[in-house]
Amino acid sequence: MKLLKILSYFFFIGFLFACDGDDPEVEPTAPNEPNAAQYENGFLIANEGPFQNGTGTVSFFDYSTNTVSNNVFQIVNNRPLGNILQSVAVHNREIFMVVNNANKVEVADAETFESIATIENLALPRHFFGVDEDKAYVSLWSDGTEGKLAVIDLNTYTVSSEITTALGPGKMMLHSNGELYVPCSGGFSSDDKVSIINTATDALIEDVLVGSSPVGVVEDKNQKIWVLCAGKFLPDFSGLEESGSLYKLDPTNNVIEFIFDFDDFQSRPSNLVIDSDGEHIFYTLAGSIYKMSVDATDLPSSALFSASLYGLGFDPESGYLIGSDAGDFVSNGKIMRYNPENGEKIDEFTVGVIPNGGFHFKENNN
Amino acid sequence: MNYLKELKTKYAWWFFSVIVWITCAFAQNSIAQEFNLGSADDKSRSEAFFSDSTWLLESVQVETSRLQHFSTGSQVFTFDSAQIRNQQALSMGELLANISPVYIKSYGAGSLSTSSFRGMGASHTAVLWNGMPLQSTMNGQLDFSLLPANLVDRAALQLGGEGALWGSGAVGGTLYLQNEPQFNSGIQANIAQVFGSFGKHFQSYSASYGSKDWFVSAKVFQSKAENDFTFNNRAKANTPRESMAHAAFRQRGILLENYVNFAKNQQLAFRFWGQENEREIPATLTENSSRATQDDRFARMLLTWTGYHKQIDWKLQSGYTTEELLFKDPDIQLESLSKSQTWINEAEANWQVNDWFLVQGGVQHQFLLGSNANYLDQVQNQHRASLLASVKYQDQASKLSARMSVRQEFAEYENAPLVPTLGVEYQPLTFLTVLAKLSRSYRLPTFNDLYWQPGGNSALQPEAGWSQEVGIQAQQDLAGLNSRLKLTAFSNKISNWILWRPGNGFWSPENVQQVWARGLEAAWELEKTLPRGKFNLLLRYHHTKSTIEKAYEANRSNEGNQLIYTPVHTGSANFTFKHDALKLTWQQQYNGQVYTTNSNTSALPGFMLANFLTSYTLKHKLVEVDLQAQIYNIANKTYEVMEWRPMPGRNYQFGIIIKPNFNI
Repeated sequence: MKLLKILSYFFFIGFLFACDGDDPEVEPTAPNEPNAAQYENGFLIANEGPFQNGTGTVSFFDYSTNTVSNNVFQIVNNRPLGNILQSVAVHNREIFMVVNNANKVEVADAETFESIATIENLALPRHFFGVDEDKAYVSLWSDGTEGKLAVIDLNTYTVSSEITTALGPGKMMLHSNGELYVPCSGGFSSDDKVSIINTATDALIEDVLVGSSPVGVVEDKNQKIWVLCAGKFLPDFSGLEESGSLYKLDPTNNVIEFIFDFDDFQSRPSNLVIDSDGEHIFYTLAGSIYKMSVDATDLPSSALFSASLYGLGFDPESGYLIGSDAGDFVSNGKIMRYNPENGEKIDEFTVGVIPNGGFHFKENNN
Repeated sequence: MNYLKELKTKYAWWFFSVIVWITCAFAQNSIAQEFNLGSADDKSRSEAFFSDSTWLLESVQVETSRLQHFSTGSQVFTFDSAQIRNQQALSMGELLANISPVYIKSYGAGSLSTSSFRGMGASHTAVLWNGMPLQSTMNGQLDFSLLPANLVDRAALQLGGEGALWGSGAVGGTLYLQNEPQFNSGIQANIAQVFGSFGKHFQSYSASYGSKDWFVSAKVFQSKAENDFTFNNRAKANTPRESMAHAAFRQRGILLENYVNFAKNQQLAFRFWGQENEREIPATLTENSSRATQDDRFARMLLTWTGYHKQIDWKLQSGYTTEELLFKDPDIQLESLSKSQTWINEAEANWQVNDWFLVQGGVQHQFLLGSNANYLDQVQNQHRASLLASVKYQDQASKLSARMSVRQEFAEYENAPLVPTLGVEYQPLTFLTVLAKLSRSYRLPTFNDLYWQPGGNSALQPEAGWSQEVGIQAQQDLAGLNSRLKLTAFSNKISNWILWRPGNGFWSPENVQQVWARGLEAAWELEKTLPRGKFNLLLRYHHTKSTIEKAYEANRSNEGNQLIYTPVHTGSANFTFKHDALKLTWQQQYNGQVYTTNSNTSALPGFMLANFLTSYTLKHKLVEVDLQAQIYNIANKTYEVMEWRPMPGRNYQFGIIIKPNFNI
């Protein structure tokens, strides 16, 4: 359960620890479990919203009632979130909504969902990561020529500095050793690195070379790092020039321990998640969801179940896999809950337009 | 490079075409003297068709013959230069939104604006400029904001599918734009200046000369606006009053026309239309800012030879278009340049077999070239050819007319289906006409659909469907008060509707959807001629259900839902009063609620807009001066046509047109 405990430090989901702002390992400021804010007692769903003329919306799955409420931000604040909601995170009892095309992060109270602040001037932000009480990172695709993490001062909700990463930084993961892993998929072009950041000094430690287009990073029960790489399209997109791959890294020196090659030159794997015990990883490939033990030496030969999912998440609270279905991308989508043991669908809920994989779960497993 | 090679080929073709044309011209010229004039016949036919307008044709003029003779059974709405002149600083998109029954999807003043005819999509409108299709090779649409209203002399809207007459894209309707010569008009000049709110400045200069057999005309214009109107930003807390940013545009263009009656009954026409447009692309309210820009440039040339011999008239036409679209977004270091060229050659002939039967045959060839860095091999080209035949019957008393048209287009990958049209008009009583039409229409996949990488799908089928309509037109004259009523019911079902949807890591177009549009249209017009003027009142109401009959499998629950951005209710009232030199116009339009998602779970509210236009003409022996003033959106209504794209509130335009008289 070490992983769980570590994770809880950084997502402030109901564990009580003291915080000292500098060392992310020992700085919990989260409230007591009984005092969890209203919107911490469930998980949040990012709906990107219709492209071009639309606005993203946030949906909330309430554990106490097993129901979903939609469009929460707009209903409470009487204004839209903005164009393309990429992801949601909760930190310091505040909800951070990363609005990609509006170049901002909206901040709301996790108890009331009332707007607190808007962090502006972020060039194509993707994901939010709360480092401590005073500091957070937001990954930026920027103008496509460089990747960045914006360092946010959470007292003023402004950008205090920037860290340069490889191209197209995505969803960040803090390892139990205190280093932050940032998969850099290339953004508008292609890249093949995981940028590693020292969260105390805001310095880039190194860029680890992996397969083409890394889209997700997780840490398993043995503290090993798993990186899912989507692969590289042929110039004419008729297939893949480089197939997708799964990298297993040893975090002590960031050397590659194992490479699992998908050897599929048509479809790209996506959506890497891990269960709360750190024992199994899940990913999607060509309309199917695969489950793999972190001790396995081969990729799974058969799928756990079939579904055309746009996003995937693992809900530590219920222990269910959560899939999002964006349908035709101009209608309300839905989320489904699946049993991770056999892939059986438990239930489904209508959410907003284009629900993606930018969930926030109560005990985020990164 | 491949592209250069294509260019050379294209110039060779162009050259070849000119040679063929000159040869034909000389050959015909030598026997031209023997021909009959035949214009009276044409005139009567055209008057029959454009009965509710003053659309009279010049002596040798068959360019709109397809529209004139073979629209039997169709609903046609025409407007002429007088209506255009009153609002000449507007784009065709703005003008259509004000005066026509077409729903215009505007992204804001000067921004992209597309049309929806009878509940269909933006690429389901065919637009023809003197017979040449203008829809983009790349995306199948035409941006109506790039079409200055004052560059055309006349326009006609044909509602409903009509693949046989107009080919690919004529699914929801057709907009026909016409430029015409004014023979015997002597020297004419025209200077127009219009100033309006938000930095709008429109200027146009034209000069022409018309003798008995020759008409030459040149017109240049520039239109620009800052578009920095203020609006209440409903995307922000407490809806603060804000100024529109990054929405300026500038358009400059030239239109040259040259018509020669080189024989008594033969005419050569050469038209050139060049235009360059620069605009800033404003952010939507849900984005924060934008630095994107779009530059469009195009040149269109059209050479037309028309003539008559006894019961036969003919038209040979060669048109060439070159277009360039440069989209830039410095925020993401994006520069995307699309280029396309189209060369269209067509020939058609009408044969008045006897008093009852008119027969038409036509052949068309198009060579399309498109280039974009995202296209497979960067450059793609296509040949398309079509055959067209029509026959029309009209009884002696003009009580019954019926026509049948059929077109077959041959295209690369997949040929279009054979598209017939059957139209009937019957006048059982002197004041009553009954119309009916059965028609098939289609739309070929665009270059983007076929070649865009990633996603382009060369296995696409053309969209196709059948439409039916019936209507009545009643007319009554009571003590000089002319009352006209039109009622139409229509149904139009389109299958294989092409939609882009996400697939394996990128979006790709597929033939996924079936849409059924049906509705009722009502128009009532009252007109009275007064001793020193006239008044005219035109009321319209359209009820259009346009529903998804078959959806992508993950969204079956959307079946039966209304298409997005397609209002069920639209209506308008236009009142015009003319007294001597004074003209007053009141325009009122209503556009009902539109859905913004296919699940019909979110919607934009409907809105009612009113405009007031006035003009006064001062006539002097040496000069004629037209003074104009217009108020748009009188009620200062806050509205959006496309979600999160604000439209301007009340705004004003003042114009002056000066016409010196050289022919004293």
